[in-house]
Amino acid sequence: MAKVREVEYLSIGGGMGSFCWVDTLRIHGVSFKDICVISPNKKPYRQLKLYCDAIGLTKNQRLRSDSGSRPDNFWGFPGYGLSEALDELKNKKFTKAAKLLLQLFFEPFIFGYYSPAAGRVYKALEREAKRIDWEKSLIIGHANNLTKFPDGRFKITYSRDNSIIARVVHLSLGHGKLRKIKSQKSKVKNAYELDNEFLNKIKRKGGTVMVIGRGTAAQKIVERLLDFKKIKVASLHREVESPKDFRGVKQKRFLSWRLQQFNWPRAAFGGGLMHESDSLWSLPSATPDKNWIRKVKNAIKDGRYEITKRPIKANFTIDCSGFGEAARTHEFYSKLIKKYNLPLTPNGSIRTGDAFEIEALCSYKTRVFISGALSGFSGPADSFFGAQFASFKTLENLNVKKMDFIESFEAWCRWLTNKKI
Amino acid sequence: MTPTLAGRLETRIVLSFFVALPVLVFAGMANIIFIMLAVGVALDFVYNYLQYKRWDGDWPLVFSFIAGVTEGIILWLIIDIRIPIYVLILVLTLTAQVLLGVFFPYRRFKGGRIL
Ligand SMILES: Cc1cc2nc3c(=O)[nH]c(=O)nc-3n(C[C@H](O)[C@H](O)[C@H](O)COP(=O)(O)OP(=O)(O)OC[C@H]3O[C@@H](n4cnc5c(N)ncnc54)[C@H](O)[C@@H]3O)c2cc1C
Repeated sequence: MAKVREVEYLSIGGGMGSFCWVDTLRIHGVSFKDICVISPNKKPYRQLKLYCDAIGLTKNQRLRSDSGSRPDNFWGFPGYGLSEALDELKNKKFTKAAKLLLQLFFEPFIFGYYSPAAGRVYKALEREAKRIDWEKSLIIGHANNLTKFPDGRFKITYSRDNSIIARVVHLSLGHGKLRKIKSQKSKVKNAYELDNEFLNKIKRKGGTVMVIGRGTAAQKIVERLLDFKKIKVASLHREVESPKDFRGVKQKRFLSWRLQQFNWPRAAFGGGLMHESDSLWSLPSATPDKNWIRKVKNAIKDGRYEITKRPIKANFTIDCSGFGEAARTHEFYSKLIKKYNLPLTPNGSIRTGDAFEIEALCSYKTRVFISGALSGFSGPADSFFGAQFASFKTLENLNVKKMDFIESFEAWCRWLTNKKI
Repeated sequence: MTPTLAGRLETRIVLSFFVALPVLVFAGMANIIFIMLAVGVALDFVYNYLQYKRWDGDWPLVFSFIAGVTEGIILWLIIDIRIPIYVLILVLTLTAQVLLGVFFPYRRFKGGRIL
């Protein structure tokens, strides 16, 4: 029998969570030879791009995170905003550059918070992936199972009948299954499965479209639909909760849309609210985009938009209620939970320690971490910043030597000048 | 990067000694560093209180600027600090605050704490 390959660090998923983890290890001096990534995708942003494209968040449209949430830059400086302003300066577009700089100085006032365009993020990830030799660590495949050996190491089987052994495993397998609603008579489609064919059908036939959900996806879809003529849009928003959180601070509302710039209040991303939680913070919310609000207000005036508390008879339904939050909705996690009887959090994610480690699987010298979507850690784990935060936490847990300020400056200069590690 | 109170205090102490103090020494007024620090630390508690009244609990750059100007006015009123020197300190401090992340990358995961 051929000898099974053994590595020190193995990340399964190969999406944003994996990328941030591997990038962090590489920056801290781990060789690409000691790292493996199992993923069906070559590009770390492929899954994210598929979801974004489906809801109409194409490469020129702006995402939701702030300038410093840079999955391609461990330091978060320069943020995407400053980089964009410098690019505009290079292209001699001085007014655009000045506007960006003013926006960054005054945000969130006057011009609102800055968010990067999706295409800028993809391009930046592409550059960093090359710099850290991402593809040299990559094994294209689909992980099936994880088994813990008596000595603490882990065997991962992938694709048909391949396997690999690792001492430190990192899981970041993205979201679970898309939620499916029981269909009424109308045609129903999930927002993340939208294609041009379905949209063209809506355009052609006209009528009423019911949009379920109140997150970014629902916001984008409503905006897109309002551009079609002959169509009425109804948003299904069932419950209306108090707009105050445990601090007594009020969340903005527009009709029954919850408005907040980021998925969680900004201080939950590594600031003073990072150890706090409130059910209101994590509920789906829309961004306070003035143009979007104006568009919806005009549509209400024209009788083309309404909010309903109960499902209505519609010609088409687009479900934007997202993914199942429970880890069991993901095949790999589901098997793992059953096999090792892993403890879960109340919302069904896998319970972890402070360093994102699945304690039930760790031993003295070996670790399994889980980050990204579906990780059980409270706070905005399912975000670019969350993926970097998790990577930082695992670093501390693994006793990888942290950089002193000179090493950090040197490593940053390498990043800035795009020098390989 | 959103600071916690501890992050604010640590950052203020570090920047006071490594950015403001050299300027003050150069201007021959090093002795005011302690008054400057005392005013700043006292105000940090106020800033922290105000910060969590915001939904996002964050502290935008422009707030740091307004805070810096406020501190300058207070120092001018109580010790008649020379305005050009203070403006130089403010500009250097704000710049250093932005660049700090390059030297202390873990800060942003710890509410701005340096240690
Ligand atoms: C539409 C949309 C917009 C977003 N916008 C923002 C934003 O603006 N800012 C922000 O910070 N966050 C944003 N997010 C959240 C952020 O992108 C996610 O948190 C992040 O992508 C999650 O990383 P992940 O590694 O868990 O998942 P993914 O990036 O989805 O990667 C998971 C990977 O695992 C692979 N995989 C699954 N099963 C297996 C298996 N058995 N074996 C091997 N591989 C497997 C998948 O193919 C995929 O490549 C957005 C998310 C969505 C959906």
